[in-house]
Amino acid sequence: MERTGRWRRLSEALLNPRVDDRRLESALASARERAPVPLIWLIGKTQSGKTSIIRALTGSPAAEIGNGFQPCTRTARIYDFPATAPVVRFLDTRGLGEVDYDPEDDIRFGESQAHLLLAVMRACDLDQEVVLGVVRTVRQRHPEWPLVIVQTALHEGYPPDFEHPHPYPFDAEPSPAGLPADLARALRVQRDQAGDLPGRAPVRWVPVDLTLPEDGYAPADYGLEALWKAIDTLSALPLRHLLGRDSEVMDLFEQAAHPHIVGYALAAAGVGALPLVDLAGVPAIQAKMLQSLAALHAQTWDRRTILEFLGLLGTGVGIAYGTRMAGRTLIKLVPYLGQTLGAVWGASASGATTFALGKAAAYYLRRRNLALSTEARALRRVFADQITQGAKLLRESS
Amino acid sequence: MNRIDPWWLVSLLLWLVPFVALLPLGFVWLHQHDAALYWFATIILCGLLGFGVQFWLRRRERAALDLEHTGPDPAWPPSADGAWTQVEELAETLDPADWPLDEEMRLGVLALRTLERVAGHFHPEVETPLLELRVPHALLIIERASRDLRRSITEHVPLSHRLTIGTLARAYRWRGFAERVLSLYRAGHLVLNPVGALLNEALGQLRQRGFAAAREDLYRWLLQEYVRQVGRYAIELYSGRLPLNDAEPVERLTRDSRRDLERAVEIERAPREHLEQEPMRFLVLGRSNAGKSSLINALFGHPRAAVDILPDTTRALTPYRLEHDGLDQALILDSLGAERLSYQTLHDAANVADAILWVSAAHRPDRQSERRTLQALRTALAARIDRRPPPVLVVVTHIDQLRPLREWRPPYDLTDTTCLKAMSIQAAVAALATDLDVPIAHVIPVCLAEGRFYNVEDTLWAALLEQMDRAQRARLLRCQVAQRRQENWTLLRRQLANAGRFLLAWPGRSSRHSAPP
Repeated sequence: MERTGRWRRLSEALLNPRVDDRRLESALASARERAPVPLIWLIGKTQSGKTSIIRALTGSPAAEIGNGFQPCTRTARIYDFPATAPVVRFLDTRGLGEVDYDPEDDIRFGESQAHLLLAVMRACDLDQEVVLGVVRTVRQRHPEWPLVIVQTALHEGYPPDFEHPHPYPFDAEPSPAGLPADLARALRVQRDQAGDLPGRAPVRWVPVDLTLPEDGYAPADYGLEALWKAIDTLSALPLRHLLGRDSEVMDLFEQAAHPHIVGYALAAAGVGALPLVDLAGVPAIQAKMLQSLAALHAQTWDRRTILEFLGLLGTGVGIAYGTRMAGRTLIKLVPYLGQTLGAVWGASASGATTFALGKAAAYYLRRRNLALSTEARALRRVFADQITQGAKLLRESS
Repeated sequence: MNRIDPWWLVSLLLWLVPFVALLPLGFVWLHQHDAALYWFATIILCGLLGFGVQFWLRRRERAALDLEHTGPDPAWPPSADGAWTQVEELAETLDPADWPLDEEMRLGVLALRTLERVAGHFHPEVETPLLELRVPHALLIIERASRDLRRSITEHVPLSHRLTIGTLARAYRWRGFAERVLSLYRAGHLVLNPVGALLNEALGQLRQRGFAAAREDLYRWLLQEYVRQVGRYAIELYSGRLPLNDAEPVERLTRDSRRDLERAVEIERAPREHLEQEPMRFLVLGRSNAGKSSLINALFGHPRAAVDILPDTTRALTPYRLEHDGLDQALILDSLGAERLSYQTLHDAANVADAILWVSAAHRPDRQSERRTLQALRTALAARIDRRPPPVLVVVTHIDQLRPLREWRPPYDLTDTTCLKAMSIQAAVAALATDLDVPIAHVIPVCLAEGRFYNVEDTLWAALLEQMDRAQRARLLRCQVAQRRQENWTLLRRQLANAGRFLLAWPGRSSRHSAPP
């Protein structure tokens, strides 16, 4: 009876026009505690392009971009991405060197939270002692933190009418002859200024030029690929994979939906690892996820749609869903061994089912957007496939 | 009186009778036509109107006098401000009744009192500050005051070039006789035409009162001017600003500028010209790579200073000679990045500058260090009471790097709200003015990138020339400070040398040598 009970509970949570916010909140909070989301700390002078980097990495327009001549990020700010169930978090501190700003508190805060340090410098601004000073201190105290130094605003070193060089030449060593001499020298001087930075973890230098489309440089996110590569090779987080920025993911909707699904799956996994708490938390998280996915696809998520979606998934999936949930909950009740085993199983199971549920919903919503009917069998296959995918992803990211 | 023949008088009266009779006859006629009252009313009305017009004229004159008065010299150091306040205070409290013109010594006392006030301000530590005057300076002040008096008399007193002292004396002697004749005329008038004479007398009194008031105003103004003039010279004197040689201080090179000019010539490898006048000194400050050297090249119109994307192309301070329309002779001093200059170097350089050009890049908003440096500099300059701080202009460079990045179609009208680039530039200028705490009118956006020169020749130069007055004043005070230091030493040296020669030529000395006992 337990399995259908879970299924019914999910249906109830879904059909309830509003998920119980309080319950969801506590569930997400406990999930965050269990599985802390990776936090990337960006430091650099004011208007060096920190927020532009966040925006380019996440594709989120929520990160407000400055005008280039005035500090824009007024307080240290954490960007959760996606906002409700974050996959990754960025700590954007106020720009160093800003008038009337003492960065001491922000630095202390960043040190207590971060997992990866991203230093940002305008390529042609050769007065970077402040930034390098902070980097040196932080690396001394946290030698294990990977460091990526991003050199931004390359176009400032271009002669007039010069276009971004293609292919991206900055990986090559020494840099090829086609580069503007001033820019090449400025990049080199910044590295020389940094010298040998303390710390064990490797340091990567990545020149990028993140402009706005209307600025007239194509592409607007020049060098982003190299930045992805640097982050992925340096850190333990398969960030690009988590954010769904794979080249394989072509569909815009899927690109946007993926980090949401991963975020909720991670949250569900986090909650699932706690004995008994998950009983209440996981369906709430899943309901919330389906709601936001519908919102992403610009569709009304009303009773009829939900009933149709659940009907298509069918009782078969319902039973599978139920047993997984019930099984791990029971296991967790076994003393000692059960605690650990159950936690692992529960974590991966509720995470994986959430992931699969999200992917199936995304598939269903996409079909609906295209005004196509969805076959029950296809949907179930998506669900089944994505359970394995989800389990794999969660194993990788944990 | 007894020399006049009575028959002559009779014949004179006979001539006058018909005319004199007109007045009573007219009065009779008025009476017959019942118009006498109207006539009286007209007289009173006209009298009152005349008085009103006089009153208005007097107010206007007083306003004109108030406008026309000696003020403090803008080139004075701030330390003279207090002394001037004292002089003004004395001038304001003057009562003309206390200082009658005909007592000649009173004016001397007033001058002495003014001098004492000023001297007391500058030498509060001594009991009789008036005696702090050095002898050559006292002679100099007499010379100058006489010169000024001569000038104002020749310029303002009509026919003064024909006037001899003898004429003045004779005019004074005849004054008594003229007054006696006038009172005789008035007495005669009263006898012959009592009504008309009475009215005349009344009107005359009225007029005189008006004029007396106007005269008192004028006299008060004269006294105040007198005190102010004396005060002005006294301040010049006691603040030690008066150099003993006649030349204006800026007409001679200071040691700093001589050294810098020599270096500039050396840097430019130009033929050496002899320069006598003190040049205007512009100091270019700013962070590394803000565009200081580019600015200098732009001001010259051709490359002079080395420009590179890497910092440190400039030695601590590099002087260049600058010539431009509207600017006689100038030295422009390029500097290292402000963050690399030691505080002492920065301070010394600013101390011998007449204007400061602060260069800041529009697209580098991390201005904390700039703000701090500029603030420290301002505080230090303001603390010097013997100098006026040089004017500071902020030059905003790299405006071509503002959004939209690739657009560059000058000229830009910064008030145009439809042009994105112009709006960016305007906003950057405003942000810089706030960050560096300077008035927005002193923030000039320019572009110095190669082939994109913009706003230098017109706007920046215009702004620079507009600051020229303040810069001239800064230069004057700077030269005075430098020259006083130099003068004290040269004078002492010359006096000692002359005294030595004098002793050598002492008659008794040689005889004693030649004829030992």
